[in-house]
Amino acid sequence: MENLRKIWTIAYRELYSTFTQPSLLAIMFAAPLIVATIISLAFGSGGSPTIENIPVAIVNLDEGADGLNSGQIFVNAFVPGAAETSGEVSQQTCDVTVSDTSGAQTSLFDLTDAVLLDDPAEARAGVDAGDYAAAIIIPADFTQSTTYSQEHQEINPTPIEVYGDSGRTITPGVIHSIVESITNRLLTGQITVAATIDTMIARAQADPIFGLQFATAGSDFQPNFACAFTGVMNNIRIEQQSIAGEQVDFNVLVAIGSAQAVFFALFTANGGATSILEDRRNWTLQRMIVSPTPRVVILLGKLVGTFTTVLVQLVFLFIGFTIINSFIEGQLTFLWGTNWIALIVLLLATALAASGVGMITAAVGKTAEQANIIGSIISILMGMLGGAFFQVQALGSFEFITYFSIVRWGSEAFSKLAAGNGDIGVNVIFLTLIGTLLFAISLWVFNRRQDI
Amino acid sequence: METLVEARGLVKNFKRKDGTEVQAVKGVNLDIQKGEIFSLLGPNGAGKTTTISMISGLLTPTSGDARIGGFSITKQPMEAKRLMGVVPQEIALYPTLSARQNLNFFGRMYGMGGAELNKRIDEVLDLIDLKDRQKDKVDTFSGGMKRRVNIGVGLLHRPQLIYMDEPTVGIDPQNRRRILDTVLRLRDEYKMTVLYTTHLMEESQELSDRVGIIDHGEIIAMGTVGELIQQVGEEDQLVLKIGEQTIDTSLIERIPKEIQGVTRAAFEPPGETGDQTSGEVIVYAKRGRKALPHLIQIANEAALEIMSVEVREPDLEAVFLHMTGRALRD
Repeated sequence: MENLRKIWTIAYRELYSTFTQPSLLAIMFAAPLIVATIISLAFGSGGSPTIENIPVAIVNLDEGADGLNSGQIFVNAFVPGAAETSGEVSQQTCDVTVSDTSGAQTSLFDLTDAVLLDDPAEARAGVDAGDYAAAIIIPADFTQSTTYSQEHQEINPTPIEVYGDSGRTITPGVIHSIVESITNRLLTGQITVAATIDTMIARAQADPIFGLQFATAGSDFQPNFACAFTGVMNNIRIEQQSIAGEQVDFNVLVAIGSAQAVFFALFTANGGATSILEDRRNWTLQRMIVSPTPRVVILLGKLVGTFTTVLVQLVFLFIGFTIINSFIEGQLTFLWGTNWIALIVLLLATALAASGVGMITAAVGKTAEQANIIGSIISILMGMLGGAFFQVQALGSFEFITYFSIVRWGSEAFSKLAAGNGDIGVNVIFLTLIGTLLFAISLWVFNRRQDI
Repeated sequence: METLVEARGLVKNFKRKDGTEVQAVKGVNLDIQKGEIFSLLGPNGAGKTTTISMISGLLTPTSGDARIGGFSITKQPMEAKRLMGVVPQEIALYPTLSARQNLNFFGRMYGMGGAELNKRIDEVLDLIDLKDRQKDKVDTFSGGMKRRVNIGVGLLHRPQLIYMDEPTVGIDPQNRRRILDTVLRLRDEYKMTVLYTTHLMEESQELSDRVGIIDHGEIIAMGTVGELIQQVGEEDQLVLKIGEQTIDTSLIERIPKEIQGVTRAAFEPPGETGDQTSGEVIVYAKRGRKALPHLIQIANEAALEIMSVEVREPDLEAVFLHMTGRALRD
């Protein structure tokens, strides 16, 4: 209990010293907001970025039913020229347009760069390898389960698989959204057709003359029904679609802002942790060591102080980015999703990871100045790799190196939360583990150092 | 008397940058009694701070151990550290905190808190005479005031033993006097045991009940000031300056024979004593002041004109010089 009080005493002094220095506060809070806002505006007025040519693989396993193949509707929607090479009735060519959140319209063919594959395993492997943002796999019984007929009068939910690349925060969500929209419209169309046919059959039974006209003209209806399924009358709107179905607009400020926040958090953590070396220079560290206070308590106190400072900084910045975005868009919008628990856990994990990096920097630095230089280099490298200055997707096949940066792990998870995707478990685990591991190593190094 | 600090065979080796080892402290043995002021006297680099750092738990000894109040500093460091207060040579304070905030912070490091801590801070501020400046940031203080806060932090938890590592370095004579008086008060009024390191012979001689002289990492002598002087057999020196006069060797030979207590006498012409303008008659006596009148009488009889007379009584400087062949300030 006494040691817990000492940890808090040391942490409190760190916080007091930090939060009573106006110049330090300006660097911690104002600088990231300004830099991130400027970069975001440079990327596109703080709004949505240009997304095009999303690599997608489509595997149509649909075996069809009664000469109809509903799966081919997806193929036609994504793959240019697929309709011309298909002999199916439902393969009427229908131009699908896509509108972004500002209302601008583009063709789905421009938005995606889709290829048709035969093997689902190959498609998934392509996603895993980073060749595709997502794979759309249409099951063998898709038409069977969704088509209305006299023999099959029940329309079932469609288990289309959208296998997304978890490393990409935006584009798999876009593909998921499009597939979901097409599916919804297909089902709506099927129900409409079923109701129409039922009505016509009933009328034909009651009116033999109409029954004769319906029998001879029925085939003319089919193309129009096919186009209804693919959305010619209902444009698809690009929005990130969460699993729960909640819609969140994508924003550059989310990607750049979260990366900038983690980047500046590294600087703050570095400054906080190197206060150990400043304490050594001032002899206040030695004074603590000759008191009945174990070294681990002193280091934990420093860690808690640094961790809390970083956490306060991150919370402030994320609120700040929300306010700035609200000003830009003219309406109050919380940027970081609605999964509060995940957001809090992620903030804690990010603060721990940043603090761990700061502690290890202090442990290897011989002086506060040396540790600050090492820390600055590490922070800048991690910031560059992690997307604090540009979007990491620009690195193409070298994008994997960005995972050496905790900025990437953190900003990716914040972007996912902002997009309504709560799948941040791996990121949280990694950030927590790296923070804990680095602190353990720094503790070991500090204990071995004769000069501390 | 009860022993409070007992150090046995303390050794500290440091690694140089080239990988070789240097032995900073070479098997120091110390016994410090409860309620005494013990000075560790030695030139800069002698190993005083390294020794005190090992005894206070700041450095781990390469070998050997120290017990404070019966607790081993290597095996029971927390218990041992509770008994001691440390006043480092450096100003070990947070400059952006006030005097009171510094005292509060370090008091909590000793497990103090609440009303007890506040009361004790008030007492310490009274003792170091800084109550009126308690809310000012330390970096606005003079060097002497910082030194006093530095001492105050060491006293906060009422330790049985207080280590003071050259606490008067770099301060003006007025503040120095105040600190020396405080050290004496700690022993006389608060019954504390003081381990005091210094390279200033005068401080050591004035304050100490006992002195340990350390050089090149070894204790070369230990005892009261009187015991140390006696130990090396030093005598008083009577120095008569006679300008450029010459002197008969027969007169020099007469002096030890005619004056009781004088063991020998010598003449050093100008230039050989460091004084270029005057020769010196140097007389060694067990009780110099007693021999002085007789010496002057003999000089008058020999028509020797005396420019000045100086009585050099042996001190710790002389002891150090005698034992090492070097002056303390070298």
